[in-house]
Amino acid sequence: MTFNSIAFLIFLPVVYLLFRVFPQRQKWVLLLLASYFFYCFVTPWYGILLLLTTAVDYFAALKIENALTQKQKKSWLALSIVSNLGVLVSFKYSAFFANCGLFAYSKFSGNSFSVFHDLIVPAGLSFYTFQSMSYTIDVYRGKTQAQKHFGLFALFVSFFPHLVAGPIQKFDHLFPQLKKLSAPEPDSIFPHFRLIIWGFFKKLVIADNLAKIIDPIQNNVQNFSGSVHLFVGFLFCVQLYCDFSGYTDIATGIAKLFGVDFTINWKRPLLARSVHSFWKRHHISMTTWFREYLYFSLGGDKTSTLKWVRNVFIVFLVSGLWHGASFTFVLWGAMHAVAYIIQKFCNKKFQLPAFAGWLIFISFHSFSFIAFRAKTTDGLISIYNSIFYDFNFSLMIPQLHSVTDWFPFLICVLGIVILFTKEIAEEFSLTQKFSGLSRYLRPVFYWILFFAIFLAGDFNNNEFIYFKF
Amino acid sequence: MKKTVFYILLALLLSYGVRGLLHLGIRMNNEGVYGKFNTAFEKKNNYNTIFLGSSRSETHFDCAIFDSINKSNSYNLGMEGASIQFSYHILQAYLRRSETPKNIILSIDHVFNFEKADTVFMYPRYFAYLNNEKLYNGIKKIDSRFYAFHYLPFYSMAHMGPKYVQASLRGYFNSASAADSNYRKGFFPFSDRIYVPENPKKYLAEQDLLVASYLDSIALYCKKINAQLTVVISPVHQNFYNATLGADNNISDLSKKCKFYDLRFFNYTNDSLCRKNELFYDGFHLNGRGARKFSLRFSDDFHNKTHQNPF
Repeated sequence: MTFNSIAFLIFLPVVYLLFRVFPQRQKWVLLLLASYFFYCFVTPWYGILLLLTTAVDYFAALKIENALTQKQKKSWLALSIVSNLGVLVSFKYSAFFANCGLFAYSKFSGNSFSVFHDLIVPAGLSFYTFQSMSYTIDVYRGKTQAQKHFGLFALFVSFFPHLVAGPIQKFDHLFPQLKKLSAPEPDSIFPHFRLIIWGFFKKLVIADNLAKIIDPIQNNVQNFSGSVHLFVGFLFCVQLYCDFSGYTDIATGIAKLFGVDFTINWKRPLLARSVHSFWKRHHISMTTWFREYLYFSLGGDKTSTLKWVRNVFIVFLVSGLWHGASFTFVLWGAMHAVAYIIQKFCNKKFQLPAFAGWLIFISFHSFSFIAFRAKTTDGLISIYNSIFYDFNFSLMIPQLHSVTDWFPFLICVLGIVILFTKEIAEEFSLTQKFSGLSRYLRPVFYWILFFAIFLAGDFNNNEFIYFKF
Repeated sequence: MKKTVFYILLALLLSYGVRGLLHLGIRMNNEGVYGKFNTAFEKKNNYNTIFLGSSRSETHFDCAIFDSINKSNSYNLGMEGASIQFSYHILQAYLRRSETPKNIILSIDHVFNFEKADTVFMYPRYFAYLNNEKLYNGIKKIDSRFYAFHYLPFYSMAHMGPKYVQASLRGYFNSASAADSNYRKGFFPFSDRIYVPENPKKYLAEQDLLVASYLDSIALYCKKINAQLTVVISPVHQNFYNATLGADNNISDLSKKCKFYDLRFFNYTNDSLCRKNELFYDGFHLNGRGARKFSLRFSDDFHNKTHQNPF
C-alpha cells in the first residue's frame, strides 16, 4: 500500500480511530497488525520475508547478549549480517553480479551471453534490513540491550510509516517510544497535518509533475541537446528530493498522529554550499548508517590520508550500489567520492563565498545526478557526450516545449519557487524573525497547498522513487 | 474537538467554493472542446441539424460544407470516445435547453455494438456540466462514480488534474489554445498527416445487446420528438475493416434496423475513399483532407437522397 493510494486514505483513519479506542497496553498489537496488513496488502508473501528477517535478528541479538566469549558473539553477529545481506543481495544484486561474471567470461571466451533480468525487489527491503541489522550491531557493540519482547521488536522493524522507504530509525530512538504508545489529544494533531500536507504537495504537485517533463526526455536521450540534459539533471535533483523528502514528511506526520517522533532525515540539502554540507543534510538516516556502521568500522578519518581516501571511496561506492545494482549508481557514488576528497583538500586552502559555493555545488549535483537517473550505461554516455560536445543552449526552450505544454511547466516552476522560498525562510529562520506576520500567513499558506494538491496534483498513484531502492 | 469539527467544515465549505470557481471558468470558454460542451449542455440553440457520435463524427463531418450544400444550420455534437449509449444521453442533454432539430445524423462505427464501456472517455471533462440533469442521470448509468463526483468535491478534484485548471483559467481570461481555434461548429479536423498502413490483428465484433438496444432508444426518441434520424457509417481504412470479423453481419443488422424504423442509412465502408492512405490520419480516422472530401461526398449524397431541400 502506498501513502498516495485510495486504500491508504481509508486505512489511515480506521487505524487512527482504533488506536484511540484501543487500551493502552494493546496499542502495539494494533499497530503491529496494521503494519503487516499495510505491507502485505498487495503482495502477501513479502510479509513472510519481513517476519523471517525480524525473527533472525531478534534471536541473534539475544544470543549475542548471552554469549560467553567474543568468538560466539562474532558468530551470531555474522549470522545476522549474512542473513540480512544475503536476502538483500539475492533479490537486488544477483542479476547484476551474474551479468558482470558473464560479461567477463564472454570477453575471455568470445562467446555471447544472455542477460539475466533483475528480480522483483520486495518494497522497502533495503530499509528494513538496514534498520534491523543496525540493532544487532548495536547489541554487539554493547550500545543497547537485546529486546526480549518479540512483538514490540517486530513493531520496531515493521512500523508502517517508516517500513517502505524509511527514515531508518535507530533502536535507541524508536523503541522506547513504541513501548509507551499513547494517543495525542485530537486538537493537538493539526500541526502534524501541516507536515503531511507539505509532504503530499512535494510529492504530488512538484515531483510527479516534474516526472512528466523528465521521463519523456530520459526515454529518448538521443533526441535532446546537452543543455536540456543538464537542465533535466537539475530538475531531477528537485524531483528526487521532493519525492523522497515528501515521503519522509508524510511518514513523520503520520507517526506523530500515533505519538511517535522520527529523527530528522532532511535538512534542506538543495541549499548546501558544498558536497560535505550536502551529505550532512541529504537522507541523514542512511548517511548516518553508513558513517556509523561502515565508515567508522573501516577506521574513519582517524587513519593515514591514503586509507582515509580508500574509506571514503568504499563508503560512496557502497552507497551508490545500495541505491541500485547498476554501474550508473557506482559512477554517481565515485563522482561524489572524488568531489568529497578534493573539497576536503581545497577547504584547507581557501573558502568560497556562500553563493558561489552553492552555484558550484548545485551544478555538480545536477551533473552527477544524471548518472543517478540514467537508465543504462549507454544512455548515460550519450547524455554526457551531448553535454560536452552538443550543448546547444538555443535548442533548450524549443526542445523542452516539445515535451511539455506551458501550463504544466508553470506549475513545476511555481512549485520549485514555493519549495525554495520555504526552505530559504527556514534556513535563515525568517519565520521566527517575522513571527507576527507568519502567524497569519501560515494557515493561508497551508490551505493553499492543501487545495493545490487536489487541483495540480497527480493522483495516478505514482510510486515513490525510493521504493525501488 | 471543536477545532477538529471547525476545520472539517471549513475544508468542506472551501472545497465546494473552489470547485465552483473552477467549473465557472470552464463554462466561460467560448472556443475549443469546452466551448463545444457549453453549446451542447448549457446554451439555448436553434440548429436544424445535429451530428451525433464519437471522435469519428467529430472529425469527419464538416458542418460548413454540409450547410453550404444543404442550406442548413448544423452543429457537430460528436464527442471523443462517445459510445452509442452516451450519444443517446448527449442528445437528451442537448435537448434540455435547445430546440428540437429537424435532422439528427448519427455516426456509427461498423463495430458499433462492440463498444461496451464502464466509464466515459476523459470523464472529468463532464464534471462542470453535471447540473444538466439529463446528462447527470445518463452518465450515472454508465459510470456510477458520477454520483460521488457530483457531491464530493475533493473526490472529483482529485480526478481533474492541471489540464482542467488550465481550461478554467482560459475561460476566465478568454484565451484559446492553438488547438481550440481548430473547432468549427463542433467539427474538429485532424491535421493532414498521412496514414502509414499497418496490418492490424483480426478481432471479432461481438454483439452487446444492451449497447445495441440504444440504437432502438435513439430511433424511438427521434420519432417521439418528431426529428428525422439518419444513420451513417463513415469511411474506415480497408485494412481495419477487413480485420473486423463479423463487420458485414453487423452492417446488415444495422441496415435492417434502419429499414424497420424508416431511417435514412448511408454506408461508406466500401467506398473508394477507404482505400486511399493519403486521406487517413490513422486506421479509423480521416485526416483533414479526407474529412473535407468525405464531407463533400456525404453532403451531396444527403442532398440527393432527400431529392429536395429537406429544410
